[in-house]
Amino acid sequence: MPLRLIIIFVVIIFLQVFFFNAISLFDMAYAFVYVMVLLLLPLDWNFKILITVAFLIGLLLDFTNLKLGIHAFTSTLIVTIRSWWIDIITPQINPVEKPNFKPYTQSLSWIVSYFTPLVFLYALIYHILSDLHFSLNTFWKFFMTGFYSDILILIIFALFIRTSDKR
Amino acid sequence: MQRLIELFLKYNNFLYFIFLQWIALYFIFNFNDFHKEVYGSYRIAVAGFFQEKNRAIRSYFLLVQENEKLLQENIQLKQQLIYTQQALNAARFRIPYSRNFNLLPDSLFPVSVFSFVPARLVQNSIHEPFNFFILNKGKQDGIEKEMGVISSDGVVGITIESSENYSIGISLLNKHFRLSTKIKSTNVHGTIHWRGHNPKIVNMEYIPLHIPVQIGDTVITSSYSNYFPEGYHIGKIIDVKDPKDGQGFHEILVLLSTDFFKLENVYIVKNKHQSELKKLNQIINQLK
Repeated sequence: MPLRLIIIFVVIIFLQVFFFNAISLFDMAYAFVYVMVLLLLPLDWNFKILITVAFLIGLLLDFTNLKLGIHAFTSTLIVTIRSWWIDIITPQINPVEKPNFKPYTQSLSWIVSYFTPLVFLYALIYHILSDLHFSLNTFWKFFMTGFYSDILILIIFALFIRTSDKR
Repeated sequence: MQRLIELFLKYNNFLYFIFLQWIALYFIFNFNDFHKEVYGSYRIAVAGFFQEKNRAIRSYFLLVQENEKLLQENIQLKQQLIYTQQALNAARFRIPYSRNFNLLPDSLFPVSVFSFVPARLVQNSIHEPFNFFILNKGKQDGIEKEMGVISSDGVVGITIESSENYSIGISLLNKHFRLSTKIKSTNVHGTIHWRGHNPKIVNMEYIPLHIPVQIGDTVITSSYSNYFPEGYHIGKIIDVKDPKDGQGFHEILVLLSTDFFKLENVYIVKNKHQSELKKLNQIINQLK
């Protein structure tokens, strides 16, 4: 993984803790931009290291949000699921070449189909775990959080990650 | 053990994933007040649900013992009731002007001659003109022929033969069965007889036409019967008609209080003075 990308990831997590956590809309839509970091972690990493990193990033956010365990649970789950999701949306990938597959080098349309469902899934699991039930209010929170986070993630990806890769 | 280790190695990634999720869930339900509270209430509800089911299963297995215990309690209560009724009658009869029965000496009260043995019907017919039943108690339990059989609702029949472990009884629903009874409100004596039609209804015979009979009156066992304690329920009068054949007795229909369709647990009535009464009856028969 390029050093530049590592720095961007660290900055995004830092911003998540100190900035994005504070800019929720109407206390309904939360900006979970750091999910992008989870989804862009290299596919060639050992599975245990991968989920441990995801777990620790989630736990860091939990400590800052005072909702211990929810981000850690959801992050670990999303990182586990993402590999299967890539198989579904990109059936042409050869299993041997899959570890070298770099999501951040793909087209914007592929990125949208990769990020959007997983970001919405993240929002859904997060809000169900937060509320411990599923009501209309939970549905709106999930929908708005998913939408809000997805838009921010796509903008940041298009502005900083994809362009920087082209360079 | 080897296989277990192989399985563990094969699924170690998945097990590690489960381990991390378990830690996360542990944090969620132990360090967040809201989640802790919800988890606590669910835990109580779930524990309550399982304890309730557990209790239901345990009580199901204890039903036989419970049933036996209730039968014994019933017997004690029946004996107490009969004793109290007899004592009250005796006191009223002997000292009609006494206002305070509690002050009467014990010697005035008779000792109950009836005792009860719980039994279960192992066979019972109701659709024949001559119905009989078999009980699961016999000579080993002190059961002999000519003992009354009652249920908690009313009279059932009389034993006619007994083996070591079982007894046969003639049912009240038998055209040969006749029992001395009386109407509770008027104390007029008559005889109960089933004519082989409806297993819920019997006829009360030999009540003279000049005696007023009301629908709804209760029919009980009389003191003339040696098999049953006096005053035990038989049924309620549901119809009173004029005789068709011009005889001087009412045609009375009695709805039985015993439901022979559901009959299962019964009590066999032992009369301590039965043999004594039998001998006296033999003397009467010789005199005839």
